[in-house]
Amino acid sequence: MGSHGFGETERLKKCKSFQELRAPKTQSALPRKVWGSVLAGSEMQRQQSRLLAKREQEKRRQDHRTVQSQRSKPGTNTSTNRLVSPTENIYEPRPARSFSAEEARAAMRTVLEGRLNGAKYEPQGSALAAVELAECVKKAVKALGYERYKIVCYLVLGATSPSDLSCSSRAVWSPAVDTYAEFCFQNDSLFALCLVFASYHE
Amino acid sequence: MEDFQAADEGAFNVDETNNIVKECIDNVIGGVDYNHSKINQWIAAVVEQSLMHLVKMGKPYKYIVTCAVMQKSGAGLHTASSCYWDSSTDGSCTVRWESRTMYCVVSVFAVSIML
Repeated sequence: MGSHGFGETERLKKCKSFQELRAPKTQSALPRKVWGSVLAGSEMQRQQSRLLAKREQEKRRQDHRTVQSQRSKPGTNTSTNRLVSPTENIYEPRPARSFSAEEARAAMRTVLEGRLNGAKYEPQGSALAAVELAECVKKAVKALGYERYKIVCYLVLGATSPSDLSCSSRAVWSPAVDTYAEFCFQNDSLFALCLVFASYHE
Repeated sequence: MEDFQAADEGAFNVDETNNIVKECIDNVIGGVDYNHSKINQWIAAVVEQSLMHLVKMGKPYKYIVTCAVMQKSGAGLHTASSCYWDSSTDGSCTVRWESRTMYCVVSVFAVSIML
C-alpha cells in the first residue's frame, strides 16, 4: 500500500465504508421479523458507538504557531465528522521520499533573501516580522511535499551588534529519516538564523 | 489547562518540561558571568542535560532542543517558531532566562511517535 497523505481523499473513502455498514439492517429474516430487525438494529448501534468512540479519538494535523511564549496554545481542533477507517495510521517505518536538507535550505534561502534584502531592524515591528517569517519558511518547506514529515521551523532575528550570539541544538530522533537544515541571513542592520527540523511520523 | 490535560493523556506536558529546562539552565549557567571562551561548552551542557532529563521521562516522543544565548548589550533579539504537526499530541515549550550579563532562550519541541 502506498504512503498516505492527509486530506480530502481519505475523508471520502470513509463515507463509503459507513454506507456499507448500514446495509445489514434490511437483511433480517421474515418469520421473526420484529425480533430479527431489533437485533440487527442494536448490533448496528453497538458498531456505531464503537465507530463514534474511534472518531472522537481521531487526530488531525494542524498548523501550529508560537511567538516567544512559554506555553504552546493548542491549535483549534475542527470537529471531525469523518470515520476512522482501519487503513488509517498504518505504521510505515520508511518514507517514500526522504527529506532533503539541501532542498529545504534552498527554499529557506529564497524566502529569507526575498523578504529581508534591504530590510532594517526595527525594535517595534521585529517581533511580528519574526513570526511571519517563520510561518513563511514553514509554508515553503511544506510546499516541497514530503509526506508524513512533521516540520518545525525555528527563527532567531536580531540586530547586528558587537555582542555575541551562540546557538546550539540537539535532538533525540531517528537519524536515518529525520534531519535538519539551517540558513543564516545577515545584512548590515540585522541577522536572521533559521533552522528547520523535519521529523518523520513513524 | 487541567481540562486540556484530562482530555488527552497523550498530550505534551508543558509544565513539567518547563521545570526540567529551568533546572538545567540554573545548574549550568546559574551563577556565572558571560565568558566568551566557555559559552560553547555551557550551551552544549544545557542542551544535553535537558535532553537527557526529557528522555528519562520515558514518554513516546522525539525531542528537539535548541538554546540561544546572547550577551547583554542593549541589542534586541526575537525568536519565533512555526510548526506543522499534530497539535493534539505534539507540543513545544520555550523558557526565557536571564542573568546580569546574558539572555538565554531554550526551546523544546516534542514530536510524538506511534507505539
